Amino acid sequence: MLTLQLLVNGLALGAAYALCALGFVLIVNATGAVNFAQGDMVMVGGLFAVVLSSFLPVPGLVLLPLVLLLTAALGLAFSAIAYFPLRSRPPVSVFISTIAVGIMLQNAATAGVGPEPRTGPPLLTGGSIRVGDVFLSTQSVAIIVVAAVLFMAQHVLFNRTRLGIALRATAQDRAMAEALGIRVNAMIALTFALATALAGGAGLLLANVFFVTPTEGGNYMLKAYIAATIGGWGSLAGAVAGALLIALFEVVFPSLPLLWTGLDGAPSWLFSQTSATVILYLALLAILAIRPQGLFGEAAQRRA
Amino acid sequence: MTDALLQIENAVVRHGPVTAVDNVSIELRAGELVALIGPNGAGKSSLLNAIAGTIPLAKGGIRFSGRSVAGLRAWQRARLGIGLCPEGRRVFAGLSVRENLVAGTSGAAIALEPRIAEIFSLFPALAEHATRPAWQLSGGQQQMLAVGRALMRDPRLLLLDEPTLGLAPAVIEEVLAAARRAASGPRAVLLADQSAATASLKADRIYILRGGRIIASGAGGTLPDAALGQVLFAG
Amino acid sequence: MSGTLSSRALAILGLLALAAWPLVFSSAYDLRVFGLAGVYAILVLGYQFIFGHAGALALTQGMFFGLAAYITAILGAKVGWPATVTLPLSILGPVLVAAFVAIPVLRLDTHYFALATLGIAQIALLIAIKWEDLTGGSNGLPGVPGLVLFGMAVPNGLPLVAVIWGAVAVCALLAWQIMRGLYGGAFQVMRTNLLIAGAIGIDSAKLRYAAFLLSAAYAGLAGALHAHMLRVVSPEVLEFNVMVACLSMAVVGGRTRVAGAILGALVLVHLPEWLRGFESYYLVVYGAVLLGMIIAAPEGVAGMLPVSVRKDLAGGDAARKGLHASAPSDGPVLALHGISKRFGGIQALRDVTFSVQPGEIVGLIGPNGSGKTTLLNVISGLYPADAGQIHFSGEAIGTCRPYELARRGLARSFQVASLVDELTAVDNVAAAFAGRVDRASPAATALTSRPLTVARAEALRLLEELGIAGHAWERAGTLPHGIRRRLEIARALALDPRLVLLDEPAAGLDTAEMHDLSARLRSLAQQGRALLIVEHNMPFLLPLAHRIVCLDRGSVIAEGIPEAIRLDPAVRAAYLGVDKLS
Repeated sequence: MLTLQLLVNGLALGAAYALCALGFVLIVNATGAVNFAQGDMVMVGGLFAVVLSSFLPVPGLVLLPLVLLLTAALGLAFSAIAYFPLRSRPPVSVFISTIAVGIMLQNAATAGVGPEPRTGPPLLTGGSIRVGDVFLSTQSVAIIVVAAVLFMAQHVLFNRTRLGIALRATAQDRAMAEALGIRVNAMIALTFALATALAGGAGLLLANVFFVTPTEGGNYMLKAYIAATIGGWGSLAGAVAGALLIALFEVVFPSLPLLWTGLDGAPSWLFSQTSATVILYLALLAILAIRPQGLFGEAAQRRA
Repeated sequence: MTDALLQIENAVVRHGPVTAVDNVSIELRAGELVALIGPNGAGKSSLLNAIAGTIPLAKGGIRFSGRSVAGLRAWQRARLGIGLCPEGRRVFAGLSVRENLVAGTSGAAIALEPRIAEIFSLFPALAEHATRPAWQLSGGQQQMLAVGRALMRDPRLLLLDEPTLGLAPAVIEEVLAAARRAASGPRAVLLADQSAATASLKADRIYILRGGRIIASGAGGTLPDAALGQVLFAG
Repeated sequence: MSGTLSSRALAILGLLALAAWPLVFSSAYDLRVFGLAGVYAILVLGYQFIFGHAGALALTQGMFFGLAAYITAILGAKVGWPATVTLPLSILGPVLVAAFVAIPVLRLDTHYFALATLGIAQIALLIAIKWEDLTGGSNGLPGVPGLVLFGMAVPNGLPLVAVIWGAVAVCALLAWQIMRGLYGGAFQVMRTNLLIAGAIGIDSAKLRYAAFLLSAAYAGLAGALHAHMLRVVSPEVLEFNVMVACLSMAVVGGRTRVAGAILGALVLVHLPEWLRGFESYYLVVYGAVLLGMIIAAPEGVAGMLPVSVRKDLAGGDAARKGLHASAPSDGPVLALHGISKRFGGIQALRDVTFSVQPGEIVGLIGPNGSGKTTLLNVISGLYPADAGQIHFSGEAIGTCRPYELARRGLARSFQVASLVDELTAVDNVAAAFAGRVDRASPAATALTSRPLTVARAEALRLLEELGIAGHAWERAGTLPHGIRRRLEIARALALDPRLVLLDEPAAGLDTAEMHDLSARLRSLAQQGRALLIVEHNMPFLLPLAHRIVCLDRGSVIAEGIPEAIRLDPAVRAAYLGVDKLS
């Protein structure tokens, strides 16, 4: 019973992480660059939801299209200032320029709405739904459903439409794509818009359960970065799987003593959020040391 | 001569300090298959890429259907009707065969399905593997995919860069036969190859390049092997 | 010469301005900000080793800084040890941690390296926050004792600021001395192209390791000084903001130049003060300024300063020192036996067997894709053969790394331009001595100028030998193609090679240049060096080579004197595609 609740909560958090990680990998594939501002885009999406709901007191689900549009537009602007001026420089330049954009976003958020944590609107309503004799948070279930719909939309776009195939072709071999008549710069700008919108969507999904604070972006970026690494650099499915794994671990690990009474005697610091995070980083380092190509192999390499 | 499909006038291409193409002038008319023959580093690839717009021209001009393509980017030239099948094939390895064909039609107002069916009838092997990722194909199949992909927009000029490289003799025959078939009606084909014999038999005209310059030219099949050998080895 | 004068004048002016700063802005707050800038200058000077010179995006510099601050605070405030003890320990701590984490982390690719270093930094931060008994948790540790130097307490204010900037000067001098020496050029080659660094005998892994440890040591000093200055240490010192600030300073100031670190620290520490007019948005503007700098000035503020060409040379006999003549050996220099190599489904090399004798010029020909470059890569150690043996001067070299082979006298030129454009011709050649001279005493090579001046003198002699001494002090990027090709050969000769592998040396040369190149290659062979030349230009190669080996689809299809090869039906078939008809 508790297990199911934890699982649903973990999946909900993981779904949001996964949206963020998906966008992170889209940009890695299209440009070869690590986007350090990806986590800040989650924060911005959350803030958009907070601010919009103060004008429009409607459920978050109604605001979702609006937030996606706004963050997509932000993504276009982002690519114009942080990527295109640097596209002929080594990827590390873009890495640093995205850090600069992250600084701007965090501080614009702090200056605009203040540093204190805020809560966004629930997706549908608060409360819980009953499945058998288990009560599940409506919000968590809604997050999972909405995220699943967004994943599906992304999948259909990339695999079933001409535009999506052109996007993938651009990511694989930009010069060749251009020689075939694909407007590669437009494709890359669009990739940034999509990646940012996915992060923004994640921000809205999380805005109710977790607080929105201007400095939280770094945490999401790290989770996306780790998910992309353990999932195999460049693999979309791997990043999603990695994100779900991370979140499940984060949610379930501190609750282990609740699930299994045999652990009751364990010191309190052992099963804490902090030690979960430390173990996560240590696991990451171990993976990098033993399997630098990620747990599921490196997708980016096969293209070469 | 105004009916020339492609006019290259005194083209010069530089890679940094190295002059790869040095003052080359060539004309192609619709329906022609023209072969550029020369050793590695002769400038064949550079010339084809300059026509496709993937590398810039340092000097000279290129006119396509009577219109200068100077200042047009590669994607604009592709949409004008210049199809490139590059050296090393460069198929999108992670995309399926079908997706490789579809990718090249971005922004083109064509009926996708009939066009794909046409390519599949040209290269039946591709139809069999339509849903397989391109990296699983054999070298010959990848080459056919690259040619098919370049034909998706029904280009009036098809640029084939070393299409026979690393292929088995029977497959080379097949690829060259496809090139010959493609050069008909309103379409011309410009083909670059290191090995002279096969290509020169199929071509209407051939140009021998070395060190970025045209050092000999003639009608297809008119230059015997011995003469070519002389050209390649002794200058 | 005027470049040298003006840059020297600028440097002196800059130093004077710096010295005068505290006298002009002497409020306690101004002094504190100025001292903070000095602390960051040291941090960034250190960061330049790994990020600038070694070119690795390490995100551990902030962690080393925070670690040192905590070591100072814990040992000083809790244990009560004096600064004379805690200061060296604060430097040693980060160095030890760096030496340890470098083992799994330093070999990773850029994005993994960045993430791994970030992960390590995050672990440190969490420990600092949660291990309250040791670190005081979020509240931090107050009561850090003041700095004591040579038995004298250094009070806060002007004295401490003076000590900090004195430390900046020492650190800057040390960094400057290391990078103006022989290793500076080696770092530059390694940053430009790892393959080429290996090919001229530079052990890149070792250089990266040294740079990482130096970074940690500088960060340690900066962290300790920071703790002494603020007298309290809290988890803030371990937060990512410190790392971001350090990275930003390196980018804004300049990644490789000493002036860049100092300017970057001064500008960015003071920028928030200057941007006060933007009120709560000043940090947004800060980010925008950073972004603008990345786009507009990729080399940073210091990149706008002139770079002087230094011409110091060792004179006289010194130039001859360190040069050992190639030991003549009896057997073949290179013997290949049954070499095979597969890439996926492609058999790139199949049972390749041939040898090259001392003083012999062997041409390696074959159509495109026949495996010539693969064979060069296998011989020079870039990837191992699947089967077969390679003997170099009688020794099996199957498992040697490229830099080891280079040091044993196997030189190689590349198809692509392989020179460091920013270095002068003479320094491009001198860099190839870095791997040869330092084995006795790397520290002396790093800290003194003599190894470089000796290497330069030797390099100049090689440039003379190739007839390009007139271009010695010009930057390689400005030289015409023909001169560059000769410069590459001069650099190969700096290894005093027994065997030189040349990949299309005639590409892009005009007829006169080709004749000149032929003559020079012949004279190399007459010195007893063996040459293996991949070339498509037959009119160039056939008269030059003593022997030709022809590859087709990975196999040797013909071997013999040039005249025989020219008439060989198999070779003609391979080139002309006659077999493809049958």
